[in-house]
Amino acid sequence: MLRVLQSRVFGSTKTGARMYSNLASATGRIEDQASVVQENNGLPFEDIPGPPRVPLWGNLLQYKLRVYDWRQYHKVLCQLHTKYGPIVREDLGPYNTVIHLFDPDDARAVYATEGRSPIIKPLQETVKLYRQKKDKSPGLGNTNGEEWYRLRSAVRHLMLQPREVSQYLPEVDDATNQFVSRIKSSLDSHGEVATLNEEVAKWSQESAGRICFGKSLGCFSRGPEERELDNIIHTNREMFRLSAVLKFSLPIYKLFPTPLWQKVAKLEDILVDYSERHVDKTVDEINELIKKGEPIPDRYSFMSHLIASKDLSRKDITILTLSLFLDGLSTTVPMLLFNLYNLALHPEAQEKLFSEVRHVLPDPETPITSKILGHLPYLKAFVKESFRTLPNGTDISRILEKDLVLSGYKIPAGTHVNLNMLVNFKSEKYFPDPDKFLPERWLRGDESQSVHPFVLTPFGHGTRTCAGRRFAEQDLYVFLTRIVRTFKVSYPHGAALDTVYDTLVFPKGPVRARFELRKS
Amino acid sequence: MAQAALRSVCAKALFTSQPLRLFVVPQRCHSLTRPLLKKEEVEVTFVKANGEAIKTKGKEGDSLLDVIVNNNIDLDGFGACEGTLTCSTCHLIFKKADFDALPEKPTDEELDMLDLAYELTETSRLGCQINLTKKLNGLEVKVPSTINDARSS
Repeated sequence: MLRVLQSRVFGSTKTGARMYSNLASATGRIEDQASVVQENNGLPFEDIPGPPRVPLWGNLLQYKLRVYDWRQYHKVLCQLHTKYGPIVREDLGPYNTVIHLFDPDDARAVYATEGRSPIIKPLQETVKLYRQKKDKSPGLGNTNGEEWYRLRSAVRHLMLQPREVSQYLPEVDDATNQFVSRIKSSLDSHGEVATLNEEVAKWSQESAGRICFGKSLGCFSRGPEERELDNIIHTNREMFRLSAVLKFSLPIYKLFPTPLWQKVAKLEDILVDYSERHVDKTVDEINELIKKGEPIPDRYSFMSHLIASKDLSRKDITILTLSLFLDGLSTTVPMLLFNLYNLALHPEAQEKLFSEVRHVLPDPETPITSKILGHLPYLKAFVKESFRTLPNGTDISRILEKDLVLSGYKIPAGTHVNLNMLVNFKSEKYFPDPDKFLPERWLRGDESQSVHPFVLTPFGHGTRTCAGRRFAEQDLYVFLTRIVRTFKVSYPHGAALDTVYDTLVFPKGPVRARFELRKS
Repeated sequence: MAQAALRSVCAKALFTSQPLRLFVVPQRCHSLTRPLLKKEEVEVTFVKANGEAIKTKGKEGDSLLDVIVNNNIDLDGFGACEGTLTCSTCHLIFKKADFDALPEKPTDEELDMLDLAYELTETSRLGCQINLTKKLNGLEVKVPSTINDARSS
């Protein structure tokens, strides 16, 4: 049943315990009482530990001099945590202080103060700037306050209600079957697919294209459409890499267009042009049907809902659709590859998953329904364990709206904090046998195994939860169900998978896996 | 569902001049989570942590979150994500018998959100996921204290 976590109530944080012990020892003397008052309010902000800062550059210099390797930023965070403790200050350039938080109790405290419209930092400052300069809608991730609330209100049911999202299940399943056929026809003599990363990315575009534009984009056509998609996939990847380069540079590009900025803008042009073209075409198709007085087929459901919303402009519709269409490339796709890798590397877990999947899909041809997805606890545990062992995102960002005491320090409202929970993913404190891949630790029913609820929230929590969350989960579940039902996946001998930070965490180089057809 | 409502307004839409204002939004303000079904009234009592009991009425098909919103019941921070299963602020605690009698068991998505709720109990549910039926008439649920505490500290 429910995992009962009563022991972790708000007041029992480590900070609270420390304040209590200070209170206890401070009886009698007035000076001590004064220091207790200060302790109750938290230690001063200026005393937060962190690597030494230099004027203007702050801590960017360490990244420039390669003391810290930003291409391994996810590992740098672990180093900072180990060296400085649960709270660390970094200044990434002028006026860009970030407070890194590593304690899940602090994450809980931050989420607990949130109101209706929490404030966040954009994932890519570059994208925000591009959209400002080109007079585009900012999209959900690059805006805050009333503007954000307006956009979210317009899409909240459409994108976040599981039962609305499950409408698109047949399309996702269909795209997945196309992917399975592609894998079958592309296997080399060792049972591998040389371009696995790209094939998975094309699957994401095929699936998202059907949801956004109501038709197949021909991602597996082996024709010009597929080649164009190859270019989009490559462009998106490069865009994320350059955004990371600029994240760890002095923000001169915000003042005038540096060569690197111009490159970023050109890449973004390609992505926006492609998406706009498809949005315009889809809107035209829907308008044409209306003119003829014909009913609008369900396949146009997503965009016709956006069009119907009186709170959305054409610009908003374009960017919201672009996000749903493209964002999976840097999130769902790496996660699918990480899950495939874990399948290949852990045959025992794979066999358990297979028997669960075979049980709900005795006939492999049966379409996947939301009812079927509701009976796959091991699959969902497997995906969570993949989020733990190979996380895609490094942090959840917030701008505090209230003064808070976090890990004993006073943090004023307006401070940018990052919740970097990934440093705990390999910690014995939160996960017994942290180096073992054990989906079982996420299964319900065993109270003794319960995990701190705020350690693993890959999509964030609260109203600023990733808007694509339910689509992403559905994608992951359908994809893995079909793969496991069709193939036995194994890992070829060779180097283990490595990861690289490009704004988010991606597999470094091609992911390898061997696919062997199962005899249903 | 909404698709059908959409189609019905298409004909009128033809006469508007702006191509992107072709449709009218299907209004859902009476219910945050699902359209109105029937008009049977169901009585519900919310008991706050300080013991204050708020007796109120909702319509069949409304969620418990809808009941709180529609009756303007002031519970600070309650239902922050407006019924989209992205937070756990509409956490409610049921009596064991009521909990067991609820027609729908929690989905995996709801359970994941409940894990993040304060004062989680064995009979906790999210208010946005419980839709009123005639059978639930007279229901009494507890509103955990920490929703308010965490926000006012």
